[in-house]
Amino acid sequence: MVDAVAVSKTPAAPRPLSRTLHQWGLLLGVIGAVLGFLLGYFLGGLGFVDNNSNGSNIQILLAYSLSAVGFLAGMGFFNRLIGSLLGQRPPTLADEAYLHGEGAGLSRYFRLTVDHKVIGMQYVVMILFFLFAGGLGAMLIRGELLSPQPSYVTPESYLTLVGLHSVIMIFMASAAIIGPLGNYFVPIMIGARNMAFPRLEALTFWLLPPAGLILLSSVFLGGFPTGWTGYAPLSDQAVLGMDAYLVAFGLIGLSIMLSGLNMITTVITMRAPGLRFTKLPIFVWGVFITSWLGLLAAPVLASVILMEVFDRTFHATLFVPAGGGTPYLWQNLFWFFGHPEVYIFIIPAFGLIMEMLPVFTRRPLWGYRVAVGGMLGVGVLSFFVWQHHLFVSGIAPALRPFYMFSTEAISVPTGIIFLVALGTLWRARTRFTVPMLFVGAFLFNFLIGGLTGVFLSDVPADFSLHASYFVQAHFHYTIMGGEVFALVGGLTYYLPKMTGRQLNARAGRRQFWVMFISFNSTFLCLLAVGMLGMTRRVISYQPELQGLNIAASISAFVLGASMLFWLGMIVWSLILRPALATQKNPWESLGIEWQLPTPVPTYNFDTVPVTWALPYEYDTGQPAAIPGRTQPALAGGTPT
Amino acid sequence: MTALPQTPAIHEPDPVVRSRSLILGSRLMLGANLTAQLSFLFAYLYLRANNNNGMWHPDGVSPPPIGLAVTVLVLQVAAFAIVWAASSALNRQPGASGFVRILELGLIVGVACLAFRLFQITHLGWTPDKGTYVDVSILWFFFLAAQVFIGILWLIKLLSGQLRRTVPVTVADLRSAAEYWAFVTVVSLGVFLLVQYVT
Repeated sequence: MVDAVAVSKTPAAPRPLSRTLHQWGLLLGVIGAVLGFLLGYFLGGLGFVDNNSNGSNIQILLAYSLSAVGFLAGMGFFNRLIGSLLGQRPPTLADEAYLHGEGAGLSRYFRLTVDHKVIGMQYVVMILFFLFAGGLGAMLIRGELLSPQPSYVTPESYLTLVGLHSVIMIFMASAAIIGPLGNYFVPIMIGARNMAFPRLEALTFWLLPPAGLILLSSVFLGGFPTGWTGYAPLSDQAVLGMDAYLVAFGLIGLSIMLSGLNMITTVITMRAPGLRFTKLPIFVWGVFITSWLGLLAAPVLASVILMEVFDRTFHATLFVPAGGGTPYLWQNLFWFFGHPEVYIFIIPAFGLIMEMLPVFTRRPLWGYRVAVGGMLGVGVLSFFVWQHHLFVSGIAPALRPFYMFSTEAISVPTGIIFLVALGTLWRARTRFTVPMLFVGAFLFNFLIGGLTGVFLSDVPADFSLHASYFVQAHFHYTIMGGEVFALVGGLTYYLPKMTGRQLNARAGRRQFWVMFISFNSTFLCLLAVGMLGMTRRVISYQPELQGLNIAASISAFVLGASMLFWLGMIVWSLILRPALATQKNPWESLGIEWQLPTPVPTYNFDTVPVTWALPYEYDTGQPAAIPGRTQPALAGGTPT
Repeated sequence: MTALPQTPAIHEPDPVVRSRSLILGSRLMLGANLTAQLSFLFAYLYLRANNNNGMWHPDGVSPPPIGLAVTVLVLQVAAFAIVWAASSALNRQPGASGFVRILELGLIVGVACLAFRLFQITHLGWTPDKGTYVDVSILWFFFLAAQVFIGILWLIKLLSGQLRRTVPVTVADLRSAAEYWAFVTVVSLGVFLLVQYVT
């Protein structure tokens, strides 16, 4: 069943100075960011480019860009490259062990670490931070919309508030499942000891905190009026806060692309012997397909951002009709990225819920290959639908039927995934644990999100609904109702493996029902006001819609409170609840990740399994693979 | 878990897997690079087709001087051919150091290519307000210059490790670098033809 393929060596003596500096990585990163910002601001002020009408955006662009570079330099990302150019010896195995965070305790979470599990936990914290920062924006928006006329926010600030909420949430959602759960579990699920490119994995994480902070700082530069889509020519005319948007989104795009590259390489080259693609856990398939989308779509975002920077900074006219440009160029390129982007959010969620379903139904995943085909179908089709975002912008009428049908066609593979879920649930003795409740909620919410999406793919319906809250509610049903519910369920499911602590089931059930009901009462109201003609991104609305808006706002506040309660449950569990036994498998899952001890050893496996089965053989009770016992001579490292 | 040792044991990644990962990762990066290049191609052809206000290619704007453009292209092709030759030499005789001289020559030609590209950009006589043909072309030239710069850094890193005997160059290392140079050269050829003749 198992074959010892591990190689163990005794580490060489450590290098104290570099270690000492490296331990202060986050602090050095902050110092590097400040120095980079000042240097960029100084260089931008030298006057080699004329200011545009909004001020010196070259100063801001350089300051932000160099602050990100300075942050990464301070964290130590360039040490190896510079050391290599200077002819320093390559890192020893002991250096690598140190970078993996061997025996470093909590400090490894605040520095460059290449252990995929540490990076997964870093992602958890960052994702939750930005989820709640974006959620705060949502509460402010709903508070403002209690009244049909502006109350505590000006119309201009409202646009920035909506833009910030949306970009932060998009930013969070693009990594919400792949970041924490993909990084943590994909290597384990494929029998690998780490990712193919561990430093790259760390880089994809550490690009995001500067991106988030740069984005938040846009409020000090007048904000940006474009929402998350950054439409030109409004973005050409916007104040300096737009530059923060461009730099931040550029960093996010880079992170998505590199993350995709790393995941694809890992899944293709690092799988354990005997683990064929036909036996991959369905969650790994979800991450794998999503990674292709990120790899191929994010560079288009980077290109179009470069073009916008060129327009704003060097007085080019790529998006300005008077100078020969056209705003449609932005719309086409942005949505060529933007539509696959929404599937970057949701395909890992599909994988995650299908990973959890067999555990709680105690049945094999019904139609495993069909499910893979469904996710592949969604991924491929997602590159052929982007122009449905341009139906009302005035694209050539002859193009509309193709994009209408391609958009409607995407409901077929999505429907197949639902079929797989229903087939697995059929006549099952389902255990309605808290994660399973979230799986059910995902299916319910995403069904509404999907069906409203079919309406919007229809050209005549889109013409009347495109600018309304109907679109906003549809989008939230898919992303919040789909991805965020899957994330909460997934974290509840995997937290015992990641932290050794389990959330309180009774409190979890209560939290679930409050969250589920308040979510639906919020966005059903918003679907209704959208049908009644309420325009999105506009601060005022018809007084007769106030009742529905008040209902939506109160529901949203309850939803926010339920999310805060969930966060409190996590903190309470981590601090006050006793740790589970190291071999505890609370859900009785057959997945290999649950066959490892908790906490998972640094290098995951001392002996890598070579005989694998699908991890859903609940009819026979056979686990995916047996990782072998941890033996002192071949141990993968100290417990984390 | 109670039996785990106090002294950390270390896992050394398999060199074969590492080589495969490097080559695959490098090719995936080229795939990502390709979609970025296709964005520029789309912008070029889309703006050309739109020609809003007749500002795609207004009077007085001419393509880059052909002599300089051909020089940049020839240097690019030469740099790629030399790096490829170095890769082939190492592939024929893994462990031999004969490829180093060839790679050094490739580096010099690559630097010359970058220098001429920057000279070209600064001597076009174009400003970004002279229409969208100019805008896309300048931006694309800068993008290509950045790609050549990355290729140069890559070669310096390989040579540095080899010459100082800290990280010997492997076949996979050099093959990835050669494929990268091949990609940038093909894109440069395409951009040359487009900017010079599809105006």
